[in-house]
Amino acid sequence: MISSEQKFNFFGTRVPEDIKLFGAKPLIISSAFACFACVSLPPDTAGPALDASSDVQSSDFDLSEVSFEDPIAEYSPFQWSLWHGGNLVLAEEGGFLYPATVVPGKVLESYPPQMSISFMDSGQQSNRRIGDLVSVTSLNPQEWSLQVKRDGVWGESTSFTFDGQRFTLSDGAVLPVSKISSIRFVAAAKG
Amino acid sequence: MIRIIGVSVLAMGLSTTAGAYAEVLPKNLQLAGETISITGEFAVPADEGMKFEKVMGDANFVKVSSLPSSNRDYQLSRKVGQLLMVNEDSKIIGGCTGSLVGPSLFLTNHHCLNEGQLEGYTYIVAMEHMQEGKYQVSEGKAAGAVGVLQKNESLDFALLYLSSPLGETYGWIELENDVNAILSEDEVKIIQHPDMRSKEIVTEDTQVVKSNRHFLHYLADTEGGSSGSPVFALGGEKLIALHHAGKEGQYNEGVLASSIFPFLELYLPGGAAANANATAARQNTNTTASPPPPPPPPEEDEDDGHFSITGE
Repeated sequence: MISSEQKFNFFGTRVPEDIKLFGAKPLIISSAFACFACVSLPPDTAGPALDASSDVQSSDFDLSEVSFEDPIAEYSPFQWSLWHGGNLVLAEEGGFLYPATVVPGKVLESYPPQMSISFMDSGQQSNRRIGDLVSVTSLNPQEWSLQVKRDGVWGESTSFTFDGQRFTLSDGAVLPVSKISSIRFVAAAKG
Repeated sequence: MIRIIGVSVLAMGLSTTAGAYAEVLPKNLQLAGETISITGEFAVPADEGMKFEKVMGDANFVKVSSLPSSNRDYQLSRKVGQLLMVNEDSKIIGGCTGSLVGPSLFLTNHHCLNEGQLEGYTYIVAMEHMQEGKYQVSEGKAAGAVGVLQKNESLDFALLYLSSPLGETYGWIELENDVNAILSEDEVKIIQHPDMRSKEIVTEDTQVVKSNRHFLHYLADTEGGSSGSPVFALGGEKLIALHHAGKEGQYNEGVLASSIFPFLELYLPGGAAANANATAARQNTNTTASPPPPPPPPEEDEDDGHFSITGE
């Protein structure tokens, strides 16, 4: 049975360790989802309160509104931002990986299990296999590049790194990300 | 603990064709022999580290095959089957559980299908997966899904029409339409195929913890593959909820049968559409009866505003 003592440990208790140990894509997302349900942040690192019912699907969601002074080392600042924003994952659609939120926070128990997600760029909802969902930290920058939408047009970058709360693009420009819905990832052309 | 079990379909030594439902199967997967052995690698890439442990502490799954055949739950479980999603290479790429709710009617979850449709894959309902890896699929024990009669993504159900009247062999389950009767229950039991295993039942530590107008929340153990399982009152034999998800690690969740019933009523035994279909079948016994037209959807729900309920 699922005991009351275990109710916040849906995916296990060792979430930070999971992140360190698990390199594969689904694991990261599993832990991200778990973190949404179970992680309690110390006061000096907490951003906006996590709220399971909060709607973060709006394209107006702004990372600059979230503070991340002292993230735990195991997590990248960007990953923290995703979790603070509320259960955000990346899902493939038409060859691109788009940010999406898990709605309404439950696992559909087919085999393999699925999550119901909503794409942040379009608001479109669908069910995706958990193994198909990825996180930013599970992406290999050599295999995926970042695209940013400006004035409604997607601009391409061949590589990226994470620097604090900002994406550093391949041309050396530092791009503060203002809206989650304005980024996506695309498989980099090989060789 | 959930283990991601690797399996694929190997049609081993199957010699004859499978009658009415053979046409819906991939050419390499014939439902003619006594058994299809499931071995090898599962078509879905299994990640060794992915652990979706819905069962924490002691698991309470009991193999139905361990029950005496005279046991009421054993008899009830005969009406519960496994839905297998098979690709063009005859590999099982996913699965769920479901119930016979009429002679040729199988109730499962919307999300168990490919965006609520049958296109692109073959769906097989196997009633006799009683031993690990052995799907009894000889005629009368399995059927193909040939149509989706009714479905709703928000309530996460899909009513499938089968190529063979398995319910004439196994019987079928009634849905409880009285919401008050459902909400009066404080313990449940679930017959299921967790993690794609053979048929199991959970009757211990199954308290109902919460409910609202459309969903029932309970502590009964489930795993991936349990979607579509019928949820019964602990001592009952009517389907009171359709299991579909675990929510935020606190409980498992099923859709109330009383919320689904209005969509299905016309199709269920005794319903007008079901009777018309039976008449059509009698008039032309050489062809599979066409699924009846969908009934009009019930009025939109005005409860909590999370979603509106309309037929698709």
